[in-house]
Amino acid sequence: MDTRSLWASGMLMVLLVFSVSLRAENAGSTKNAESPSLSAREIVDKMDALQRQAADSTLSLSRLSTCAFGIKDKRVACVEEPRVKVMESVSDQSGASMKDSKAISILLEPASERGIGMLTYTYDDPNRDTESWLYLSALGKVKRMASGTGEDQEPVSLFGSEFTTEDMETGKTDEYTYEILQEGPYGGRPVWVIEARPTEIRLRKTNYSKLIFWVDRERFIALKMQTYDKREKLYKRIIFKEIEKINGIWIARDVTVMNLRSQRLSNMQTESLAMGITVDPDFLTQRTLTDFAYREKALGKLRQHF
Amino acid sequence: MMNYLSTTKKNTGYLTVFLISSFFTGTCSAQLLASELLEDDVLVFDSDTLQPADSGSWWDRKPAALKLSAEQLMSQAPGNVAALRTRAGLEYEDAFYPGWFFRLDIRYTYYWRTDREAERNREDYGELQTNDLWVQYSQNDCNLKVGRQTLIWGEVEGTFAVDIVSPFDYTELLLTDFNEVRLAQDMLVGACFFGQVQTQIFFTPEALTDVYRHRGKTYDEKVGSEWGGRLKWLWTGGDITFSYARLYSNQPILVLPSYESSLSRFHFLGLSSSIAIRRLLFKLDIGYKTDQKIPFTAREADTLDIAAGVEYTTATNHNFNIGVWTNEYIDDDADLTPEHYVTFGWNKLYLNDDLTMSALVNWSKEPKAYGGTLLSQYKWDDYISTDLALSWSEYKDANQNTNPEKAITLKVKVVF
Repeated sequence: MDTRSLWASGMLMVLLVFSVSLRAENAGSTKNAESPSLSAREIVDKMDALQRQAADSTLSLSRLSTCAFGIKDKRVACVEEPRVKVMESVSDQSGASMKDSKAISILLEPASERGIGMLTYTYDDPNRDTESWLYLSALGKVKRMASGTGEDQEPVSLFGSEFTTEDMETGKTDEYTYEILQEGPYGGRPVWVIEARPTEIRLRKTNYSKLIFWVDRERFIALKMQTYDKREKLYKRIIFKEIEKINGIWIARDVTVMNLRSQRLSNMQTESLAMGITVDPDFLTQRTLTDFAYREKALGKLRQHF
Repeated sequence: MMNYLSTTKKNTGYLTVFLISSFFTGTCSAQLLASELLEDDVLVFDSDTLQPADSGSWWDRKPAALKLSAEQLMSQAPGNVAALRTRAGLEYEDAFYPGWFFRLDIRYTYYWRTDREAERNREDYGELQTNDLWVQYSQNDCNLKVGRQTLIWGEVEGTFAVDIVSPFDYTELLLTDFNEVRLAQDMLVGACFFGQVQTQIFFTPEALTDVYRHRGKTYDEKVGSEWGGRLKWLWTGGDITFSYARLYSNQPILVLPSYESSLSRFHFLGLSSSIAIRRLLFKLDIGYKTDQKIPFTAREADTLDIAAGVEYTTATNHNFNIGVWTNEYIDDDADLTPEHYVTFGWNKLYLNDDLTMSALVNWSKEPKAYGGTLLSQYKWDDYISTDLALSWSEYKDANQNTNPEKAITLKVKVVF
């Protein structure tokens, strides 16, 4: 090899090394986006903590709509009359790390399901099963449900919608590994794009091979999430809109899940929300499912916070 | 030498191309990934399109607490119409004042000429039934509910070791849910809640018994008063309930020497429990009744009922439940055969929870009988649902003759 060729090759090598280091620097810079720098895990932990804070001492009135969707005038639209469920929920976080939760939900619509009540206690301790009770007026009594958190339990759809129990749960950050893929502007907001991959334990009970979050860097709230099936194909797209700051916490009042496999979408709109309210611990008990006079009296006081 | 230089030049060329490609590809891949992840979504969904439009009609202004329903029920047995009924229902509930609650649930059923109830009366007729008509008052840790209502005790569904307070209306068709055939009574029910302890008392001024026909009844169903109470203790994953009541039996039986229908008046002691472990739910009911009239005799004896059940939800959300119930006379002097019953149930949701499939199978050793129902319930939308049931049963009568019965039942219901 002559000197000129060596020099040319050398320069190309320098450029190659430079490009690799440039990529590494870019990758590294995503882990050190701002000062102070946060790792992907730290970002997710902070998001999770805020989400649990949002569910602490909260009263909400939500409308859950589900329909098959299609493309109309270059926009996604329902191609059938949506199924609508309206529910009123009260939730409270407890436990040493505020990872235990108690929640009660009462269905208000549709008419055929009005009055159905559900009470759920979930625990951070993996050795404690989730406890849940159901009240139907046809049942005439409170029924305890067998709802253990089995390792291979298939996620259950929420009222037949595209939201599943897996999509709604919090506090499972240990069951994933995280990596920041990118950062930059998305929808006018500076975001981190974070990939979450389930661990072996999680893989046994999840429908997803990975999740990607678009996390607002200033507000630590997800703006978008995409889930991928076991073949790493895009499965669901979840969009968070109407971001508002309530009691110092950023909340998305409009969440839409689009299932790209079944071509169905579900939209959860929080029509009314009160956070940081005082919830009587006695309210989140079986009494509320059957003592209607007590329930409505207590809810009447809580609704004043709307 | 020339060959060496030529080869070297060629290799250098290849190396150059390789390095340039790597550089270009490396930087472009990062840019491509970035642009994909950060670009705006092409297709967006406007959730404002989901907001319901208010047309100003009465339909839109109807209070949400008012529920109206219409139902058509047809049941066909081989060569015979078992049931042909049209039903209209009205439900209303209201927290009309802080600490107070009112509920009304009434339905009017018209039995068409070919319905078995109408055939018995040789004419078609209508019947008004009140399922709920009560007022509830709640103060501090307690509440009081007064009016027409049902009271359901016990844990093991499909068995009646402890669930003996409210009678049943056997003119209704039983598909897979026993609550569809319950009969409401005028009662006063009080309950108090003290953390992990719950208490309940009830008083029924004029207790009712099971209903087998609406007209031409052969016995007086209204008897004296009933009263009782129970204490429930809850802990994480389970609960246990102790109950006592002074009751009349719901089902009259023929006694000697009069061969008349007669009811037992008895003391009842009960124990119920449910424990949840992972996807398993264990249930137990034990009921002890005194002074039970023995059919076709002039004697009475105490009875002991034990019912045990297990409910299991699989990883794919199939729900199975099995219940075993035994009823035994405690009488050393009599050679009385205990009765044994087994019930097996299954249900699962399909099609985004629009379709519920369920099955209920019953078997009894004494009296010898078995039967089952396969039910599918489909919700067409938020208002209309249909139930389709296939049922069959076989029992041996007093002469040991086998009597098979089969039926197909269709119910269409609109609720708004």
